Amino acid sequence: MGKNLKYVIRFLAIVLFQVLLLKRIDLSYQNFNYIHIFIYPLFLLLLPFQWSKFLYLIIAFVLGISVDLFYNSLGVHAFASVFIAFLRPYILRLIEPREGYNKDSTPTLFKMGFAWLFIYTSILIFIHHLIYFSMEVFSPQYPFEIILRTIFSFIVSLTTIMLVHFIFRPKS
Amino acid sequence: MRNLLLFLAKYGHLLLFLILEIICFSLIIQFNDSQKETWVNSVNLYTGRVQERVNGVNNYLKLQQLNDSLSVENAKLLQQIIDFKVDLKDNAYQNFESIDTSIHTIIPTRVCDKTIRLRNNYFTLCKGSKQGIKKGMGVVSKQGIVGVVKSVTDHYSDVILLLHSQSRTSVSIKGKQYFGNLVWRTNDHSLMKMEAVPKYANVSLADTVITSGYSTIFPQGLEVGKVESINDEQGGNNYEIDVRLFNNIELLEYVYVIGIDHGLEVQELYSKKNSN
Repeated sequence: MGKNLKYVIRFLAIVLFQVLLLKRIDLSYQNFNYIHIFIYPLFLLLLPFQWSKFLYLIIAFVLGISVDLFYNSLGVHAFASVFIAFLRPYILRLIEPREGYNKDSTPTLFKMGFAWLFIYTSILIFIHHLIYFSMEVFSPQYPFEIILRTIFSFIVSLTTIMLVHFIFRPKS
Repeated sequence: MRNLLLFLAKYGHLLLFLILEIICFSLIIQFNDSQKETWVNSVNLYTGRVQERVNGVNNYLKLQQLNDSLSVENAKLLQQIIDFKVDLKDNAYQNFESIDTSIHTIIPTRVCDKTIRLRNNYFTLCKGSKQGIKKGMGVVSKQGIVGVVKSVTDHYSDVILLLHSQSRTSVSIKGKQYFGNLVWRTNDHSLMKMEAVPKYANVSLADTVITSGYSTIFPQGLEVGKVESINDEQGGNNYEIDVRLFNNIELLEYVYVIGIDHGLEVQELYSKKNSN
């Protein structure tokens, strides 16, 4: 029970951090408004390896909708987070270390090391941002807009998420 | 049941994923104004395109029907024009009637079927005895003579064309009294031969050939063609004259059947005379 409570608290903390703080950070400079920081996918990334795929999807949906409620974009964040929640098991299998994943383990800096964590986070965050901005722009007429936003936001979000890993050092 | 459960255990997450994404997508296009607008517009664009294609195919399929109705309408209008012109006397047949008042019927009709490439060529007309066509009537077009009605049924009639090995029409040279028979020997659809013209007839090139009126089929004075060349008949005292028809029989779609007063009576007389 205490373990699950930890996830609930982490969920609330990350969502609130995202919607109360990061949402208000405006990194645009004149016409350059391509940077948006999203760290809430970190919650999905930190879930244990062994949980059911169904559970990932449901959690991602709830997480996305919660963020959407604050961003006034119902469905957009949910779409992107359900997408990466679906892909996560496959990506994990793709970048599996030689000795495999330890049962009951979690993808943290402490357990998996920096290099692995960096690749894992980059792949999923990039996909998340690409899907998110595609859905947000919602038109194939502006491919450069989607790509530029994805790339710049990806760099900033990735940096932020790695910083969170270093600062808070979640053990599990 | 067990298989279904196994299937769900294996692919259920894919199903759930799809369901959740569909829910998200519908939420996006329901509650986000700009996305909603884009969605509605592009859906309209695509359905509009599909609709247009379907309409195109539909129209194409209806084309045959449309064509038929148009040609029927066309024939009706043409008939009206002809009737009108006949009424007015301001028409191509005025000269028939001024030359020979014995014409008593003009029946406009469409050509239902034709053979042109054979040695013996026929038209089938779309009207028959019900519309007043009788065996032995002449068939003309605006530019000249076409043939003779050979047999008639209730709604159709067969016409022996000029372009038939047995066709033989009495013609003469306009302005001169000499006459001869018009026959078809070549393969050219507009080139006929005028036979049995005596050598003392001073025929010249570009003279006009007209019907002689000696036959009971065509009235006198219908223009048929032009003299193209004059040759000596081999071992005879006659000329053989090449006649270029004014008519392009190959292209005819509408012709007129004409009847002459007492013409059939005279034909009867001839056949009696021959049998005696």
